[in-house]
Amino acid sequence: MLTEPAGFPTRRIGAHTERGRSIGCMDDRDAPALRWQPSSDAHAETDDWRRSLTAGGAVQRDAENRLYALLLRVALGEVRRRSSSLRFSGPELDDIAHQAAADAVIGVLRRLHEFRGESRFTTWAYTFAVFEVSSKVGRHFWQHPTVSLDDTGWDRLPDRLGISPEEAGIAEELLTALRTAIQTVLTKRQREVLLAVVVHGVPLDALAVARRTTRGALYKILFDARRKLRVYLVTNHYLDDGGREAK
Amino acid sequence: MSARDRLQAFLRTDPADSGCGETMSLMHVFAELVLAGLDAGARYPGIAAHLRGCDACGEDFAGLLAALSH
Repeated sequence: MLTEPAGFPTRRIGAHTERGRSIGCMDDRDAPALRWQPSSDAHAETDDWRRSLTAGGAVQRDAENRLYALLLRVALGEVRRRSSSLRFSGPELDDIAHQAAADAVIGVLRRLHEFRGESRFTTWAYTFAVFEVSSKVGRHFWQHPTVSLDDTGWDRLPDRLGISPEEAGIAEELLTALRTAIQTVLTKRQREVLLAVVVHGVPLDALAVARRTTRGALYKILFDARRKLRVYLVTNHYLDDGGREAK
Repeated sequence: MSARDRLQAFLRTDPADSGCGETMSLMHVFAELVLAGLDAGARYPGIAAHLRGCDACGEDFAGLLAALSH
């Protein structure tokens, strides 16, 4: 079973020293014969970055500045790419990008010793910028909140699943069973997370900030909740194992 | 799509799903496989399953691919 890292700051990006944490039985790290190897040029580039980022003095400062410029470009591109789905724009986006790039550089330096060269160094470094943008956008969500995390809104669940009122009327028995399952088989925490993410549309990273946890931990809660609901509906013959209606 | 189909799609979970932590730690490798035209999903089925199910990681992956494509 999946057990996610304890917190976002301790996430081990590119560190392959631990066993996999698959929700199911598959461990993607158990495929050494299939391991992707970057080109020799990429290895040389990685070696250059390693040397310069650990050289100390002016050489290291110069490398850190180059890394910051690189990650700032990525972060700016990422906030612009996401801008249509965000509730803020302009200077706020640029601020997020600059903060993300600065924190990404810190993250890269802190975890440089864990990088095993399974990709280009820059590809690995880009992930820090992208993840930092995600985290900061999530944090920013609560500066412009349009939702509350109270225990209301379950009536909107069918709509949030894309089910029209007409379809809901036809499937009334099934949806009643779903509401029963939500109240009887889910834990309080599973109901809260399901409500926030699915009904209120709170992004996982934003909810992670509000609940002081990680994206991965919330995803696991949702994963387990969905599985429990499905088991209930199958066990009580509202759905069959193949996913078709059985009642 | 009927209400039942939509509900079934929402409740469907993949036991191979690697979760966010594993996916984030290998996203850089997965992305390079994709951009190299290799079958990343065959090599890392758990990550492929996760990216299909997790909007947040899917968005990050799209961002990484966009950054690498520029």
